[in-house]
Amino acid sequence: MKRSFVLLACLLGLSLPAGADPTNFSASAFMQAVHRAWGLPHAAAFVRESALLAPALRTACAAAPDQAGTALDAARTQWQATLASWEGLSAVAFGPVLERRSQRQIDFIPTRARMIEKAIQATPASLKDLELVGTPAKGLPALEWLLWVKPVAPGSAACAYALLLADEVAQEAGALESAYRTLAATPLPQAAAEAAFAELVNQWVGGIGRLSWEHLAMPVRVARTSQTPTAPVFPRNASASIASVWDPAWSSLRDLAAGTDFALDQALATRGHAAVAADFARAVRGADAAMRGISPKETDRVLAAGEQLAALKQQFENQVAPALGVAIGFSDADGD
Amino acid sequence: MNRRDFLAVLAALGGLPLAGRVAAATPGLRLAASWQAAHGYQVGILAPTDDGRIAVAAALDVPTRAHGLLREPGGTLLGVARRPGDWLVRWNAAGQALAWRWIEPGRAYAGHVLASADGRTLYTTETDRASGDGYVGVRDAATLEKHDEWPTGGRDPHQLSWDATQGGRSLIVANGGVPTYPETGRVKRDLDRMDSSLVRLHGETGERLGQWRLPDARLSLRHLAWGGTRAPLLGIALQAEHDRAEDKATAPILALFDGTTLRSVAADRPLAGYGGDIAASGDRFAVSCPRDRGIALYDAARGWERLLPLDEACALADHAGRILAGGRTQVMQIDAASYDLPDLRLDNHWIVA
Repeated sequence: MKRSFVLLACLLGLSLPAGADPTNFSASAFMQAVHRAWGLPHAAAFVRESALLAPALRTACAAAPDQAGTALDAARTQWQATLASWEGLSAVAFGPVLERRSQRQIDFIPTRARMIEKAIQATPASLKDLELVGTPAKGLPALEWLLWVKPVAPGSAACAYALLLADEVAQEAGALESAYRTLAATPLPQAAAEAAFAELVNQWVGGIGRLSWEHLAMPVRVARTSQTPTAPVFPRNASASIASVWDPAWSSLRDLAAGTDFALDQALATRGHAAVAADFARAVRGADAAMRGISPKETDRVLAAGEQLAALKQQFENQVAPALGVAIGFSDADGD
Repeated sequence: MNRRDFLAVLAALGGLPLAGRVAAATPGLRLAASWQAAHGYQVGILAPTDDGRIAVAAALDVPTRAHGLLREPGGTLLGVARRPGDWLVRWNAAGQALAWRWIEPGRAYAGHVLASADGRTLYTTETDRASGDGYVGVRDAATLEKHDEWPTGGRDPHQLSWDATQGGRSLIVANGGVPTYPETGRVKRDLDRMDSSLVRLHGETGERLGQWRLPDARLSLRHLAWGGTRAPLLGIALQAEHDRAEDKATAPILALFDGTTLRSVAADRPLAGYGGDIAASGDRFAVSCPRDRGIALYDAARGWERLLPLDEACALADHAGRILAGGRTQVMQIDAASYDLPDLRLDNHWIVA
């Protein structure tokens, strides 16, 4: 989330009421602010970028031989822009993203090459046909495979399949934006808002865990503990879009955590936990510094950033969530 | 009133600790455990000190939460990750990592591992991230590499054990049955689709030989401990997943399986619907209740006995016929010595190392 938008959101009066009664925290008002100032703009960005993906692929699929390389590069660039916008929206998978299980629909990892090739052979011709294809052969990871691992050739069945996948991603983006628009326009009833707030808190924990571990620390750890020295294989490795995933994901997590008028540190302060809010905001700034400018090539820094985010997650689970009165699902205390 | 009841009453009245603190009452005791320390997760060895504390004797930093532990015949130890379940580590009693085995993409360790009698094969519970289906990964103990896998016939597999009613020739696996999906993260959904079961698998082929379910589909079968003096009896710790808080609070937390019949065991009081670990000693079964701050005790024949208070009680182990329980700040030996615990937060389990 761009800081400029945060400013705009403030100007539009999307923040919680100033001087709110600490004992009168309104989950409904808070969640509406989150939906309006965070969810809707991220969904809109995803709609914008994903809408350009199919045209870029269409051009690549129709390109003459001497234009094929350039057209493929343009499609790749648009895929990366679409991915970045999706990462910004899905980094904290609550509300419509969770309800629609969008991550499974359009971002199932690992993608499965054999399933993709089988799906291409089935020559689906419409989004309806695509419903019969399993999620490991669809979505952004499958498109990454079709653009980088086994790049589609103009006029091929694979290219037609990639086009359909792009259409499906754009369709999902539209559905998400529509859902966020509804949520932004209408406050949730209190009980539903409290459930949504608890879901947001839990999924923030899930999001920081995913970024800190799956995207940052684990690939480095795997590489360092393998029997033969190897370079880390980060998610989105095939398209070399690694850092362009980290940035939007962290920005989204950070903006929901602290420093904006719809952030969880504001909820803490409104509920009378100013000290916990200040500690948390300080830790978020520290994590922000650790994340700034990290590169997949600097594995020590990547690992350190991952560990700092993991420490932030621990602080959140142990101090922030209890202060917010939210039970963390699957916590270490309630185990398995 | 016998001594046990007398101590329980004292504890309930907030007087003396249930078991008087007796320094070095269990010489040679060493426990392998996993915990969350101030700076992150660790596995390691805990041992009593002369001044009545349990101290960290060795520790290994691990990247994420460790759950189940196993002592191998040669004395090495295994720890398995859970949520996220990405790694299996072999380590020694000095706290040194000897080998890591990362799970393949699309799979997750479910947190428990078991060894064959000869120690040459390991069995890990695993989940297919795409389908949620449960598997037993069959691994070469020397390399930790998986060479086979068997469907568990359910979702959310958790602990597994050799079947004492079948002479150890078959496996018993608890399918927790809670539907979880990577994309729904920490939020439990579709609980009306819960399907928990206990399955018996052939120990060499993985063929499913039997499957049992409790009548209440919202009870998740998770942790296992064998007891029984006349015949083997499996105790299973339960996790209730009812929608209504009152149903969850009063749900049973113990089930018993005699090889042919699976039944839940009622308690005389609400136990918050969650058993975190289970241990058995003879005919006694102990189920830890971290949400109810105590250890629930049952007798195999008579059923419910009582709840012993222990804050954040969870990890349980049988040591020389006595059950050891780890809490937030204290380690209790039921009806014997207790110890102070250093500032660490134990995970669900520990084992005698």
